[in-house]
Amino acid sequence: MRLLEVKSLKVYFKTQAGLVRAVDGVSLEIEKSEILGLVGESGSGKSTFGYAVMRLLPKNAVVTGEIFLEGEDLLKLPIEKMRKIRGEKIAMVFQGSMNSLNPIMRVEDQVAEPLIIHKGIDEEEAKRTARELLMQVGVNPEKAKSYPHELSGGLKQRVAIAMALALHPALLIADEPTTALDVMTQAQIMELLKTLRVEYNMSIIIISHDISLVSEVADRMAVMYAGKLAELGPTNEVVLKPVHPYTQGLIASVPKVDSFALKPASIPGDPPDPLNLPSGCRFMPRCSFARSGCESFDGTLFRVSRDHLAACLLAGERLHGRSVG
Amino acid sequence: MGRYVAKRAATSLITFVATVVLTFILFRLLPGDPITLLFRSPLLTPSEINALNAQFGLNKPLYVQFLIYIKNVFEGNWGISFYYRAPVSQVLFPAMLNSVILLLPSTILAVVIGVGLGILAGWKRNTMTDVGILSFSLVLYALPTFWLGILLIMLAIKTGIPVSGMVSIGVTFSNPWQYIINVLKHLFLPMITLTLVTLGQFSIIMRNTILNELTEDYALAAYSKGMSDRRLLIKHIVPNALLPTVTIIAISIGTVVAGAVLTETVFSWPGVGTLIYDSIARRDYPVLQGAFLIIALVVILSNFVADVIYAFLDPRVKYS
Amino acid sequence: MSARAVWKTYTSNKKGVVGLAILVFLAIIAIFAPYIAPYNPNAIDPNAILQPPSPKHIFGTNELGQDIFSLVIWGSRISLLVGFLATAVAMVVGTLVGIAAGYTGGLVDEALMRVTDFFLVVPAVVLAIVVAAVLSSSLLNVILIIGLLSWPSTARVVRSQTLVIKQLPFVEASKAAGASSFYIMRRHIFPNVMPLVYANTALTIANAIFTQAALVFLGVGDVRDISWGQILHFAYSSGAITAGYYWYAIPPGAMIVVAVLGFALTGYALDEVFNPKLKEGVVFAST
Repeated sequence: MRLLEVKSLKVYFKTQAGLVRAVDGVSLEIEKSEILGLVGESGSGKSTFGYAVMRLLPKNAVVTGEIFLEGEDLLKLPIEKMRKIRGEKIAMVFQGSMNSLNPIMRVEDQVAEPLIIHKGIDEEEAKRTARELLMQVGVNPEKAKSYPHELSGGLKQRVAIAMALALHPALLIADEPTTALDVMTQAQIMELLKTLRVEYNMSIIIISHDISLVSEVADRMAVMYAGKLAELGPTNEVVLKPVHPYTQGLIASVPKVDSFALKPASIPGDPPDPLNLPSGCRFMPRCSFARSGCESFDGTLFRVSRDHLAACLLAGERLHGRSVG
Repeated sequence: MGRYVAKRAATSLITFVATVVLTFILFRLLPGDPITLLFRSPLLTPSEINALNAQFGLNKPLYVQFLIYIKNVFEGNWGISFYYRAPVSQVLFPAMLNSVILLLPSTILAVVIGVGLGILAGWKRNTMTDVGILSFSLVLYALPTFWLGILLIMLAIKTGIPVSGMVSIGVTFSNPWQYIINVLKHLFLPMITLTLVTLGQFSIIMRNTILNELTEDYALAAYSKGMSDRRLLIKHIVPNALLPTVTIIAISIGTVVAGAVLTETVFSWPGVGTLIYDSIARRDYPVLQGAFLIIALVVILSNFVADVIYAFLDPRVKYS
Repeated sequence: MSARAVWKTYTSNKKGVVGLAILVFLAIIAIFAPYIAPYNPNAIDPNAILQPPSPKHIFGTNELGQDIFSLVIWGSRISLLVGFLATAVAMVVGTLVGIAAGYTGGLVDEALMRVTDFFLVVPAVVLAIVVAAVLSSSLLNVILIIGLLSWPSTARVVRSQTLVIKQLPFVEASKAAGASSFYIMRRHIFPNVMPLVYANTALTIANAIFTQAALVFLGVGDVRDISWGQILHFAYSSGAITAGYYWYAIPPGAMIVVAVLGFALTGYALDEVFNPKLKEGVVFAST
């Protein structure tokens, strides 16, 4: 049985300006002990996807679809049961720039809290375990009694990770874990996640806009655009042989050390307005391969190879043996 | 933390000095200067006038008068009351005591009830409870202090609850307890008035603070740990919300004191407020000046104390 | 935000609608007082002293036989006028000081902030009482006193907004293009600060109405002009309260509550309209 199976997840937000289709029919699976990179621009719906799995959406969100965690549909659970799952089976680490730590509580207390809440462990013992956890993520035990504002951004993020690991969750969702951190720290955190996956036998969804960073760690990559999946597959296939023009654009826009280009390549145009999504392929306005048929394309995923899917007519054509330019 | 406290102490001192200077300007330099008027006041005997002259140096240049004034203020020599013929400090002291008897329980009650209601409203936001508490608090905030006092007087008149003064006149008490109970009976209405008008704004402030905290990132992160609403509120939100609330309540001390002044006058409670009211009628300017100074001093001091308490509570300030 | 958008957002805010309704109601009363009031408020009727409410006198009469309903209607004029004018003074001074302090920074800012702190710390009502007692109690004085005691809270709000605007790229760009400080303050800072001031204005008016009533009630303001506080003053000093003549005290006080509520609700709603990122509302500054 797969760890996580998401089926046709849709998350719409009811706003004064209209209905925002943040996630518009996304299906994917995650195996045990697998790292999935979920990438896309801001507004692609990737963060919303992560929040949806935790059921941490605001009141104006309308969610349809199914999210099976080890066979159980999370969306149908009563809130009490979902609370038990949060922290224990699935945990989340938030954007590095967020203040996910309570400013007036000592760091070790916050890491100890999940243990106290879920397992009823007594305070002193929980704090001891917390200090061990902190050590594992690279936070010196002497910093354990600090307050968040006394720590650097990188350390705070490690603390957040320790907090998420406290109960050995089967799945960790990391939403832009390295944004707002410097490049060195970014690499360290990524390495840490890789190590933890092995040590804790844990699956990780890394949500990011930085495809190059994530590709170094992830087993599989999922690319989202305007609320839908554009491409999904093993990392080396997606990165080295991208099929969807959006993915190609993302890869191409990563500045390369050995390239002679004067300007970094970028994808022309802007993502569509989520209040006013075009019918047909949502990437079409920016796509240099657009052709007839795209304006009525509904985003189904074509199989490029055994595990590699892409929501593009190009993939469909390839399937039928037609070569593409 | 030491630096923070030192800075606040300096600021408070500057503010107090500014108050002292302002009072001097107000009472001496403005047209119809009351102090020089007193030379012609028929109320004083020649020897009293001479004493005042020596004390205030009224025939000396202005800047000398100012220096004498400063010296007097800091020595506790705040002049002689025109009306009571006694040192102003002597007149002020019992009045201050009476004001404290009114202020302290009222403020504490207002804080406890106000903060409690605010937490409840913020917690159950947008429900009927919230709307109810918010409306109630808004009306209380809009209620003029003296009007509420008047209304309570009219309601209480028939019931025999005292509506004026601090103690029944012309009654002898056989033991201290009877005296205390009598005072408490007199304290009842003014205290209710002052508590009610004050708790409205505290409740609104606390509610808003709670709502702000609920939208903070750490609240979301806490939910992701599988926390129940109750634990989040009690262990995270309220402690964080108390910090700005302490500050704001401290700033409101001035308003509370103002409310006390108005309440006292309506109920003739013999505190500093009534003293101000009476000395205005009697043109007893030394007492008026003294009362104003003492109120300012108390408020400035309370603000400073509140700042220190805040510094102590907020680890971000304590450990910086 | 365009005027249309502002209106649309404002009217969707319940508090705002109630507040605005109250303001309109008050405006009608004040403006059309001569037509609404059944009697000349100054007219004395020795035969109808301290009468309880009746069809002839909806709110009864006072100790001079004057119709209280008419008094309350006419009283709205001074009560509201002082509120507006005092606030106008406060707004002008407060905005100027706030922008100057926020934009200039340094010693000027420090000095101005100390002055502002002083007024915020010392209870304004008490200061107003003392000042009004020492000076004469004319209408102009009362307006000036209240105005000069209310500007600090505006200044504070304006200053913090100025600090925010100051950092924005387009101000930097303007500076780089060689614009003078005055120009920047006038063309860039001021228009962006104004929306914040609207909310503060409403709250200041609420406070001003209250303060004027308090001053007049205590006899420190001018008791010759009819205002709600003035009516209460005589209700109290004539002994009508202790005698239990409730109709004398309830209407003027109720009007004060209604007026303060109206402006306060409007102020809250304006704040939510112009500061949506404050999410659930503002912590108001009480003078």
